[in-house]
Amino acid sequence: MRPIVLFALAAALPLAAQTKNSAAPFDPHDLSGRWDRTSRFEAYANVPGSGGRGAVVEEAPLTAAGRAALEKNIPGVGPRAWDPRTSRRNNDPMDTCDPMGVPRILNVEIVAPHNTMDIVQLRDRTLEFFNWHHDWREVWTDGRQLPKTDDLEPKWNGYSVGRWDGDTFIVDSIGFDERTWLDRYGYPHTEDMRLQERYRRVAADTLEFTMTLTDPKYYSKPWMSDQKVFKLNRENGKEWDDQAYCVPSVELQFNQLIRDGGFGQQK
Amino acid sequence: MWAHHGTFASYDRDKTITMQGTVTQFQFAYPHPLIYFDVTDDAGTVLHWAAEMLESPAMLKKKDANWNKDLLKPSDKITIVCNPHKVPDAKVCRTQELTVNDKKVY
Repeated sequence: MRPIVLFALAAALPLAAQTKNSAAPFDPHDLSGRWDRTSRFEAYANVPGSGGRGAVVEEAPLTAAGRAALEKNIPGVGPRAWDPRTSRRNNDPMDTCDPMGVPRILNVEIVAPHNTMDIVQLRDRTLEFFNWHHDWREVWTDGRQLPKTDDLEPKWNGYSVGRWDGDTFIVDSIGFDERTWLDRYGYPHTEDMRLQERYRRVAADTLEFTMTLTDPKYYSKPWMSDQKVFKLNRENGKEWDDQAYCVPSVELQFNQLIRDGGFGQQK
Repeated sequence: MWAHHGTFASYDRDKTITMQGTVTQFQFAYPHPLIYFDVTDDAGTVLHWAAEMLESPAMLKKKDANWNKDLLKPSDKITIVCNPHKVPDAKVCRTQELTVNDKKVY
């Protein structure tokens, strides 16, 4: 009943009024559109050093094994960042164009235009397309259950199924490749990680979601992200400016000449 | 300002250097645009430098519509203020201010 009423109202309004006004009518089960991440920090959660001013900073509930895995991941930013004058080398997978994977692809960019995600809802799947690195994932919504972990080969973005619980779209995922980081600060996960995302369209122009991961080997308890907020892109419908692929040959040269300071060094 | 790519750690952000030079190449490319330029030191030696832009091409275009692959051309005269690289011999820096042919563009 609700969608019929809302669609009737929406049809009477100009498109701009429907999408750019948070008070405009909307269908909470319609997640389709172009969304921009607007979080204050670029991390799985507001961990120390992530820059989330004014928000509660919380240590990740790492186990000893998780802490050891974190120490092996050397990021390019934050309190654990590498220093090009030392032998402690940056090994961020993003800097070699390795896939970022879920959930990092969901939190990696907060700066326009690379913070943009398109959601497309099909009959049997929901698709998420990401501007940065030109990546995408699929969430099965045809009623299937998650397979057994042992039946899955690990994948960069995992294996995801989605369902509605009231007005909350719940995505459960397993089967992740453990080479990916949770975020650019290097937080690790194992192949056994289970991730639950909870999406809620709370206004015509606002989509909120949180993530909770369960990974007992590396985290002593389920770890919930901060609440991420997406706003409907004000240039909805405009084409992506650049096909922002990560190109390995270009990235390798950039690393050698620029990031490592190789350009102009005396040999 | 957020760097979308982790290059903050490469530079000494507490220092800036100012140089005048001549553009040899401009790569308006990902992950970050690069300006290659020559600087002649007091002894008359030509030194080859590279400067990184903080933003990606799409970020620069969004920030200022004038940014494109043709904004800088070989032989353009530039004055650049930038953060030096932490590696002492590296002739690489991160752009903070840029003037091209007497016009400030960044």
